[in-house]
Amino acid sequence: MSERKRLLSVKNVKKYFTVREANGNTHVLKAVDQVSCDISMGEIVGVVGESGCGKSTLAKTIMRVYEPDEGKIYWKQKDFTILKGSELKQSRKNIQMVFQDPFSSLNPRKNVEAIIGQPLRIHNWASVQDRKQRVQEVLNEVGINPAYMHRYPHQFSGGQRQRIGIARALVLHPEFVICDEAVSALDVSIQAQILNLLLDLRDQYGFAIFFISHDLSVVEFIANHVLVMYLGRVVESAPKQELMKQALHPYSRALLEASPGVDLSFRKKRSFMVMGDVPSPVHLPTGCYFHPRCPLATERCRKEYPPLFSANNNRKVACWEADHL
Amino acid sequence: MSDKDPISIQKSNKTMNAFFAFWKEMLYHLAKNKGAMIGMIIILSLIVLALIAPFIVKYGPLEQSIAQRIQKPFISDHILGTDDLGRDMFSRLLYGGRISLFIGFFSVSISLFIGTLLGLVAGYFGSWVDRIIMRIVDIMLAFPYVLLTIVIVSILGASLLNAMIAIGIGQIPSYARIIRASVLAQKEQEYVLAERLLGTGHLELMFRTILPNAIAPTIVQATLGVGNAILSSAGLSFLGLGAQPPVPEWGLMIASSRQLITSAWWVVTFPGIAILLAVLGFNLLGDALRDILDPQLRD
Amino acid sequence: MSMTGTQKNKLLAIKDLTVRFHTRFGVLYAVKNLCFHVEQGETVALVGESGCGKSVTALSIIGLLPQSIGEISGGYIKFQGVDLCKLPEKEKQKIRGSKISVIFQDPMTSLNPVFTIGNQMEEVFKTHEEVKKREARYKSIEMLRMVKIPDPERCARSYPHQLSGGMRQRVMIAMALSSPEPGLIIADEPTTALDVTIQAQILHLLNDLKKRLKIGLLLITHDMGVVAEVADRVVVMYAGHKVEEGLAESIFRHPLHPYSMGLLQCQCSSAQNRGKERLITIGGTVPNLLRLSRGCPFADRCNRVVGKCWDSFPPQQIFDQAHEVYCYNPLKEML
Repeated sequence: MSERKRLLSVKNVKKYFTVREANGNTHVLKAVDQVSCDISMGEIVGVVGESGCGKSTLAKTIMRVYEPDEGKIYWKQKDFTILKGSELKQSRKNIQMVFQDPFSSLNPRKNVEAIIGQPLRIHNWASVQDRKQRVQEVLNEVGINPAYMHRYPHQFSGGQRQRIGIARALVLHPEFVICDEAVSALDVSIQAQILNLLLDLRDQYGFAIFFISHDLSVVEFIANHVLVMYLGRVVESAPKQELMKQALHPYSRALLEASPGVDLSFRKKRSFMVMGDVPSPVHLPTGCYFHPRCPLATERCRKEYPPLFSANNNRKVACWEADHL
Repeated sequence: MSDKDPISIQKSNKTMNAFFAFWKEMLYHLAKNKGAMIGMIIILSLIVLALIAPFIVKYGPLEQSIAQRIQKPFISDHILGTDDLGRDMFSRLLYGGRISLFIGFFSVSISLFIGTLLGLVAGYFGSWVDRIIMRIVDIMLAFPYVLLTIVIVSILGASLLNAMIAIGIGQIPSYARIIRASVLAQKEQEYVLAERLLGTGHLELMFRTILPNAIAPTIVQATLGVGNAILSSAGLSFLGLGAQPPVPEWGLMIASSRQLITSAWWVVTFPGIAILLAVLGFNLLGDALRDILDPQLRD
Repeated sequence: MSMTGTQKNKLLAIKDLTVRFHTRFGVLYAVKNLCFHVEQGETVALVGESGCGKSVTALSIIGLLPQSIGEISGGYIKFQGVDLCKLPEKEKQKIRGSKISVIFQDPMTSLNPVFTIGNQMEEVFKTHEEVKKREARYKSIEMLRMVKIPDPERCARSYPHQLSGGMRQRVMIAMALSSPEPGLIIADEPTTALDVTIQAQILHLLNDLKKRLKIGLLLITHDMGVVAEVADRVVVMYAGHKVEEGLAESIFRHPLHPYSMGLLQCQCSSAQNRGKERLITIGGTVPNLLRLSRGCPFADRCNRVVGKCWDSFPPQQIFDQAHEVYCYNPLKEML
């Protein structure tokens, strides 16, 4: 396998928020805690986790919506976190995002041409005539008839709007695209179309994708490498094949078992039902965050948070009991 | 290749279609709402009458005639009678309508423009900018509205123009607050974040991204504001602080004929009815717009 | 569990239900000639994507269609033998909430934020029966315990915003079961807003309670995985029509309608997609209900379409084990 160019390197990024309660108490919300990951050209890294795991905050921190409290982000070996002003604006050509809600991520008062043409216009790309042509081109690529570019978002269906959102993200040929729950709000049959579309476009243009979802089966389909997050931390990191063969972290295992599947093993006997609710990210458990719900929890798990151990085959897992599975 | 390629023909058709579609939809909703229909009829009549006034009146609004003083309405040449200086009431009312409409739109424009700017900047930037602007707005709101307008007119001098400016300034806080609330709500929407992440600058984000989506509630306020301005102006003129004689402003007409209320009721009553109808029309329309715009936004 | 069971067994029997909406663009049929039933102790899943009419069906059953634009223009909805459509509003209200309860998707908006959970549950009891405050309180705690809420007393003292999504949904279920004679629970996308690890817990809770209390459960969802988890029988809907119905096992092992097959195949978790570079998809989009053509609404997306499909909606065909399909070219080869 050829050495692919590494695009983005996230190193030990932390993003904390201060939450003030009505009674005056303040708590620290560790939305993203010591997260590291790398992504190379053309690669698809999937991030999966339930609510409160920090995956969306991670995406926004990478996009510089939030500034990381600690840690560094490197884009093509250069420090990305120190970019400001026009340099930051320039970088926006290369790093783009597709959002979850097709209904609120498009400006209702702009027509499709204005929406997709906006990045071209802001970055002074080519001439006005060329821009129009590029908009038509990218609309064709995402499967929307260019003749509709004078229509407004509310005149399209959810799936079509998501295609428009993808077109907007791709119009300037970015090298890296973050998809934040990009298919979660769509009907299942449209989800499949959009996932296929993303893969086709990736093959055509070669960009890398950071794919965030709460749905493990979607992530397992589309990603090359998977990160499992729980309450702000990465608990497991593995190539897709390895994770599908065997999940090492109990939480990954629980996610796998809980994901409703439709192949004939339905009503499967759950060997690994996890109990209880996800704890509030503001009141984190001691030791390993998963221990209150984990069937394998030991005394050590209650006291110490396990570091990310490197296992073989490019895997990492943060669990004291990983080898007991 | 023909000089009109299919895409551009379709473009002109499509934008026209979008334009017509929006108005068709508005008209549909307006038609369903009885209050809206009545309000629209009143306002349209007012506008039409104001426009054709010079062509349908027999006498000028300022023409005095001692011989024709205090003519009764409906029976003589003067359809609505004359006042104590022999001026034709019908003519004065129509010309007064022009003035009232002008007052309404001028004052509302001032408040809308300045209030929107303040609210937009406050809502968009938040933190200390928001705090300072909103404290200024709060200070303005601390004054009773009528008192505030009186104070401004007293400073600037009593005239119709100054009355309009005072009314305009007095209404700034409501627009500022409405826009600020609307902007705060829109700021949370994903499309704002999306456009920001494209590299869009602050100015464009404020005016081209957020403002068109935030402006809807102010349309209601502006419509009601026109009625409000007419009323306020009438009040100020009544107090002698707005229009000065012989301008046929409705409030002034009432003020100068107070003493005739028992002897020549039409001189006082007709301007009063005119104010009533105008304000009613704008209020009905404004209420209807509020009902229409709200569920439509949910659509 | 045969389809030709006597009326008495059927908790809910819907026949030829047609629901119409009057919009400014014209009339649209959200539901057309829908027939299905739910028996006591059964979980029936009504499954389909957006616009298929499943939520409208739920609203019709409990009589909460928006009166200004929606109406039931045909068919009947019989609950325990009584046609709900013919009942006056007062009678409907009595049934609603006591014999038929609904659990909606978002528990946050279904619960009143300014009252404690205990307060709201006691209200429910006081509405259905004449009970004193102490008894209502006791019953509330018992119900919370029944839905497996840890520390029910503490929960009763809390406000909705202090609970997690999963807990709130459990409270909703407790409230739905709080009448003296619960008969049918309609759960409209009860787990869509919940995390996946909680989803499984809630679904199993619903199923257990259904068995214990011997009531019927009508589960409305777009998620085939949820259906696979708990449904006894499945009704597949598309553009307001029922296209297939059968036992869960039949539908999953050998779907007969191309749409059901497509729905199962296009899931990332389906066996057919394992190891593939691209997912199997159903091309096209759901049709505009305002402009439905004469024939089968799925015709323009179907890979098995034949001439007859464009002319008229297919008649019912019944295969063994009460597996019915409405298709001119069903996947018989699967049987």
